[in-house]
Amino acid sequence: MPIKNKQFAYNLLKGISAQFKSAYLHVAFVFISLIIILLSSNVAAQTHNKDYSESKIKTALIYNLLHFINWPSEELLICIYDPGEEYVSSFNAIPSSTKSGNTLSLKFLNVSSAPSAQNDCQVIFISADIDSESLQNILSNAKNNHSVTIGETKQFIKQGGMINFVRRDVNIKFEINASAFEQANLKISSQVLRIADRVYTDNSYE
Amino acid sequence: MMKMPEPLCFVFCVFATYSANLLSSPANSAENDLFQLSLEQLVDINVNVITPSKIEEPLSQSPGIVSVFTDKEIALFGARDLGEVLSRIAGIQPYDSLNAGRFRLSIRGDLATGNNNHVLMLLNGTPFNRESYTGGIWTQANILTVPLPLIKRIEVSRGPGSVLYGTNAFSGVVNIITKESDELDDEVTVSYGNDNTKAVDVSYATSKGDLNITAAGRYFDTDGWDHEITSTAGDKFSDSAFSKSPGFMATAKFRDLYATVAYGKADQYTIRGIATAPASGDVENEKFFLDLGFDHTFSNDWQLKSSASYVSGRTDLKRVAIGGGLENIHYETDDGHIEITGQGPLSDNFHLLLGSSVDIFTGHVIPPPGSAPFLPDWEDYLYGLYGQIEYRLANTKFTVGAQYNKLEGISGNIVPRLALVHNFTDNFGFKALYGQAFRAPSTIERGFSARSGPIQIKGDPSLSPELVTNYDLQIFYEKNQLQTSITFFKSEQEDLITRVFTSPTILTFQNTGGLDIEGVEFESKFTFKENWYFTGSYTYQTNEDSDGVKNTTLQANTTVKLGLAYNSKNWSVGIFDSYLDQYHENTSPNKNNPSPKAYHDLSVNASLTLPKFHDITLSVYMDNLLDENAYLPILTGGGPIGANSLQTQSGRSFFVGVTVPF
Repeated sequence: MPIKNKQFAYNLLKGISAQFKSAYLHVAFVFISLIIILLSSNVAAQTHNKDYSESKIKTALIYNLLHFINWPSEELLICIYDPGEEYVSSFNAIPSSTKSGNTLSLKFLNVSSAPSAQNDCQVIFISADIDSESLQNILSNAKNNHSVTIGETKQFIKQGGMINFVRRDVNIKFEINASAFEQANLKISSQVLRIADRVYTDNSYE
Repeated sequence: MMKMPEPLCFVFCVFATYSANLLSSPANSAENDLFQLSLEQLVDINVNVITPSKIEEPLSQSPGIVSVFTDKEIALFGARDLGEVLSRIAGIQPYDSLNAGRFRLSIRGDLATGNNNHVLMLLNGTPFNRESYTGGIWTQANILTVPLPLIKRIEVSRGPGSVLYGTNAFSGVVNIITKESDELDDEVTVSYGNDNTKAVDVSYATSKGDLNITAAGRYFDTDGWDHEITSTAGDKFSDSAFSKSPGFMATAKFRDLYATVAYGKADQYTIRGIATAPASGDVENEKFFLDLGFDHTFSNDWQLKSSASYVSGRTDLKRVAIGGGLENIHYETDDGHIEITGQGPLSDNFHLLLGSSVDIFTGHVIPPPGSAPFLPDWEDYLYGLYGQIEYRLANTKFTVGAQYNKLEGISGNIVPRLALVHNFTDNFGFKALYGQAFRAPSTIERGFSARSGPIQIKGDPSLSPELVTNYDLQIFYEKNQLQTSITFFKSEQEDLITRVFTSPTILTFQNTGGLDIEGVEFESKFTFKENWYFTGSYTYQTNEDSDGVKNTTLQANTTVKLGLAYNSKNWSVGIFDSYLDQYHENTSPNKNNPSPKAYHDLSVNASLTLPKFHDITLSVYMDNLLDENAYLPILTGGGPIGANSLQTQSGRSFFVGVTVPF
């Protein structure tokens, strides 16, 4: 029972041809198409109404995740690399302590900051704006300091990052690199692993 | 067609009542303290849908009555095919009778005719189940061959969808959304069940640079469950309802370009013959789907989407030659669909959508050997122009849209929609919807010509589209992990195409039918104590045709669907019960078979993942645990086999599987 592709292609061409033979439909089709293209290229950029911005949700997720990590110290310093205005605003709204009672403080950094600037960070969030080479350097230093690294780029886990945010339609989910946590001698609750969009172990991200 | 019937008043009353409040309503604060929410609440903070407006938006703000069934729910409650998944969604019920045209879809009790053309299935927004012969009678391949692992979620939009989706989006739209490459696991599942049921599912995804590919295939084969029917002469006839359904689906995306291909062939048992002599037969339905498109979002948030799709259908009605002269018939349909849509913001408050489409319907029928052709080859064109504008004022969104459509050879018409979605608070609001939809006359209704004994059956090329006018009022509440809603609906169908005797020997297709359906739906989903999940729905509908015949669609008035699941890290158990009130009896004088009765379809699904054994997952799925005998009335008074009812599903059954990641 073969599918008659040639016959269909012929019918399709005939269909398109017939459509454009019909004068008023031709005019309407072109008119609509023109409007679409004109509007697409000329209308000033507008933003949708959003109940929750991406940066606010990610900041809230980070705040929640801290509660599920077994920290060796009571005081936690969150370092944020290359934050845009939205991230600065979101992180500044973070409560002063975690749900477990750890004291929280913030430090905003950028790629030109000295590597030693991240030495006292227990948590490092690296925004998507940072370049790949700088990201690799930050992750490398973070590994030595046993810091928890959080990112939002596709290759973040593969590069050795520990928690990565991924967009699933309008929702933000997270992936966990369980091996990286193990190497840093940090324990993350199995409750988080269950909620994670994906959990990477050993070299499962390869 | 754009008359303003009386029930529309309720929509305008709602508009009027709340417009005064609008001006004094405080702006949506959106100042929720996200830091107080749990991780689970944050990762699922927005339930979004795309079907009502062709753009991703939160369910609570969409101008549609939509139920969403996700991949997680499919995994928790299990299913052997898409039909079983759909049967768990509020307001929709597969009507799987063993006679011809299996797996019809009924939304809100609408199954006005046996032609199954009032529900439009979409695959990622593109028409998937259209076939131009009757408009949708053979959907077996669509229902039985879609690989379930590839489904990310299913959106069922109840009510008219023609403004954005054209013909057949009449009583509802089923939109299957597939997974992206980073959401699909590479795995193979092998399953076995009673009646020598064998199944294999394979899914695979890969990415290279900007190229993302997903692919999944399935093979399903069962000897089938035994059924029995008693003919009008009182003779018993029995056989096994076998089924074989291989299928494949793949998507490829490269930057703004995408391609989707799907193929499936469903070969299913059907009962054939005539009233005094039932006989075994089968329907082999083969579908090929190809969608090529370009989907671009500009920096100013405007989106341009264009697609060219093709659906090919090949159906063989394999009959047994008996006294009635029933022989094989072969149907071929080749239908194309070209569409361009643009949408984006005009200002902070206005959002505009414009689109244009053309459908090309072609096909031909090979009649039984020795019979004269009853339908000439066809080539028809259906054009559509549509637009929709949304306006947001404080906590309220207004939607106004319309489609102009024209089937070549008949005059064009316009179907409109109006919607008001209002949020009293961040969690609580209502939707008031008014809309029309159409179903273009199909080829058989326009061009059929054959003689059956002394009666000449004739199509009518000048038939008008069927039309439905629908009203919905929904009140919803969503907070954290709870979604709940109650919806009141009323639909008025007119110009339904039925066959009418215009003389003692001439039977013609005419726009004479009418049907009113009204009812209420209650739906709720709730995650509690972190590991527990509950979903439930209640639907009540009653209908009456234009002759005053009540419950003329024969569908159950009351449907209750309840699911409860526990989900741990490595194991889960889900139990689901679908209760259907009894179907109504048809007009067949043959009462030799059991009358339809209310029944429960109780299923249990359990899975266990073994981390120490390469994450292999073991699963067991048991269906119809109560071993209920479920019977459906045959539509149109018993059809050629003249029976009052047929069994619709097997008794208690099991299905065990092993899933191996690779």
